[in-house]
Amino acid sequence: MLECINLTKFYKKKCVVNNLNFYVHPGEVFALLGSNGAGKTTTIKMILGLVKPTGGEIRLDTKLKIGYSPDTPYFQPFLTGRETLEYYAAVQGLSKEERKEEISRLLSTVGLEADRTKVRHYSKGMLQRLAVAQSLLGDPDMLILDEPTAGLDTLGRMEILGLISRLKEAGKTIILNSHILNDVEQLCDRGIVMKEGVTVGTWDKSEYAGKNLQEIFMEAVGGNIG
Amino acid sequence: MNHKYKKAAPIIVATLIGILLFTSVLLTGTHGLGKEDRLCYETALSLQEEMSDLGFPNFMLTDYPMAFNDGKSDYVLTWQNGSYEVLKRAPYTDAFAATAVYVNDHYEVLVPTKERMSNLVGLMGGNYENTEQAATIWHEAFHCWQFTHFKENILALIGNHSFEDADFGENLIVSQYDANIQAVALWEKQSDLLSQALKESDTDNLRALMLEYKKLEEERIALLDDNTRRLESYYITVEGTARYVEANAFKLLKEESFTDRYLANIAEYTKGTEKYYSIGMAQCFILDKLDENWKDHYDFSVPPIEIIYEKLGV
Amino acid sequence: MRTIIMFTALKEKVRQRVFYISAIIGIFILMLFSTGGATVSIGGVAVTDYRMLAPILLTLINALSCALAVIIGLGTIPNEYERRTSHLIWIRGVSQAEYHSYLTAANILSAMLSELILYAAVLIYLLMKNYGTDLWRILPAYLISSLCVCIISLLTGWLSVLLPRYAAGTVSAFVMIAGILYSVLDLVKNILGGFSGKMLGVLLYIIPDLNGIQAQAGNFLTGGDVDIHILLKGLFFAYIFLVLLLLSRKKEA
Repeated sequence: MLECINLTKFYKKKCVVNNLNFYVHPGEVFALLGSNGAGKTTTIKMILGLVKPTGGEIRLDTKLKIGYSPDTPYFQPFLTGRETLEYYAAVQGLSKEERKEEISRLLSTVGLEADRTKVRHYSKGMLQRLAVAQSLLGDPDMLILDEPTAGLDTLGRMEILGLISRLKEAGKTIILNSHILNDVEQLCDRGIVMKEGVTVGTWDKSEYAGKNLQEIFMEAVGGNIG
Repeated sequence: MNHKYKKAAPIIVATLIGILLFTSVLLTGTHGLGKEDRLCYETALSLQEEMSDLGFPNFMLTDYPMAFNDGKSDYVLTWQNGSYEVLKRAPYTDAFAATAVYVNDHYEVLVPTKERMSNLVGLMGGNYENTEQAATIWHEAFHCWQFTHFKENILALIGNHSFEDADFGENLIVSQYDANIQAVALWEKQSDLLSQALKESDTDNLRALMLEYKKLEEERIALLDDNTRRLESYYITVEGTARYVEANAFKLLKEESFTDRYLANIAEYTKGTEKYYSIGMAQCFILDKLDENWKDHYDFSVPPIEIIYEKLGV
Repeated sequence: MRTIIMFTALKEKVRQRVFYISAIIGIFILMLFSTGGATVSIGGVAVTDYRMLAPILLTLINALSCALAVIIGLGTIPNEYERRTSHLIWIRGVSQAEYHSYLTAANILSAMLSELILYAAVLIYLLMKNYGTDLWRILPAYLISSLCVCIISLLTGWLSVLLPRYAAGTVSAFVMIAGILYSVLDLVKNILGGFSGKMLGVLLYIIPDLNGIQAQAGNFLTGGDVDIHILLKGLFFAYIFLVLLLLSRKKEA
């Protein structure tokens, strides 16, 4: 469904993504792992077309519908959650009838259906849920979720993980960027570990059945566990 | 194929709109002299008969080409066989000026377009309409007539000096005259007397006022150097009389505003050469009371005040 | 449906209380002129005839409206990119041209609404002076005058795509001031002459004649002739700035 070939990005003379190669199969949950500054968000932005790659190629079906949930979402503070989804649904070109039903369903899915408050009063967790909800507008084929559980309490985290799990079962392809290794281990099928723009390790659930993801991660980035 | 056309359609439409707008701008631009300036000239022309009756012999606006400068070109109106032609030429001067200019072998009236004059006057807090522009045209046309017929006498007023000298002209008046407190004080008294004289109908009273005026004048002149005296004579004679002509033209068009615009501030002191315009004009109006026909033989060799003294025997 | 971008941006402007500022200025001007606090005199004579006062009022309103247009428009597009709202718009297949033009349209509407509030002050003034027969001229005069605000909004929008915020604001403000003082600069050009005059002349070719447009609004309001050439020139400038806005791209969201 998605293939990145020798993907490279320079900001002036600094290389932030260096010859990245990976592919994502349809229906799988793929993880991008790495510490801050590894180049994960830049990679996501290149896939989404928000940033132009300096080199390499991204092979992606142009008819593919992609939903994106950013790590630090900003929504108009004077809109409610419902109004925010209506806004993005209208931008996306969904008809009024489509919008009404879908928005109610999505708000219910992320646990915001009863809420009438303006976004300015939302907690970080509520903003995160709204971000996931808007990424699901129009029933996308592929989801790119950047830190979807960041800022959520345990219950909220479990709800989102459950949602992602259900989406996976429904056949959605998901690219997940998360610092929480437990979440990745629970949900993802495969992934790459990045450090300073370069792939330093790969992870495949089916191949590393005996090994702890944390161990694999620390080995790849060159750190110590204890 | 359809998709290609669909994509191209907005670009084509946008380009067409751009072309349409650009063409409209070009087509509606001023090609030639604007309507308003033609109207100003025609308004000035309409006064020709009455202005001839003023008394300056053979003084006709139609004798002198009239050039309007719009900042880029001069539009020269030449009267021929009962109508005028408009010819465009490169500007005679880049300077912003309403003046009389010597072109080839004749004098021409040169004024900025009414819009440009209006902008300038508006900047200074004034108002400038077609009436003012028509009056200005007559002012400059009078200079054309003066220099065509009396150039030698006029130049004799300034002796060997030239206006090309930086020290001779507005600068001299400001530095030598306006800085002289005594001379200014005397001038103010004189202006006040002139102002009274303008309203005076009795000849004896007028004589008394002019006698006092003359005494003050002699006292004031003694304070000035030769250059300044000559310059004063020049401005009062040449510009004062032109202001008089301008005022008469204005009066024919807008009598109700005439007094406020031209006569109300005679007694007010203004720095620079502007005061001579007003004083010279006032002297002409006083002369009108003494002898309507004074203009028949006035040759610009002396300021109008000398004719007043002569007529009143002071 | 993507007009929702424009309406939402407009809502944001309303919430920023820009219009309250316009209303306060409008009320202030009205009070100033109607209570005699501002006496305009020309050549020492107090101007009370509205036919002479109206152009002065309109010049003032036009200048204020254009200044508001710069202020309103300056941060709209940059804010979208700083807050990364643009990310969720770009990924939904909205082109930059469309996105920026909707945002700029919101700026134009906001600036026009601000100007309308100020024009309301003129309307009230005319009503107070019982000039009822000329009231119908207010709306067309307002529409003519709002061309200035459109031009400035489009210019500001375009520049804000390409330049940092304060650079865009500086250039817009400079063009706005030069446009309002167009007739003065034209005069200065001729008085200067020589090389300086020629340079100023070149500058005047690329500055929209905001003064001229507003003068036509004044002419219409007072029953005078309207010079269509000046309005068409203004429209052409608006067209150019719109095309530049549509063609300008941000490299990254």
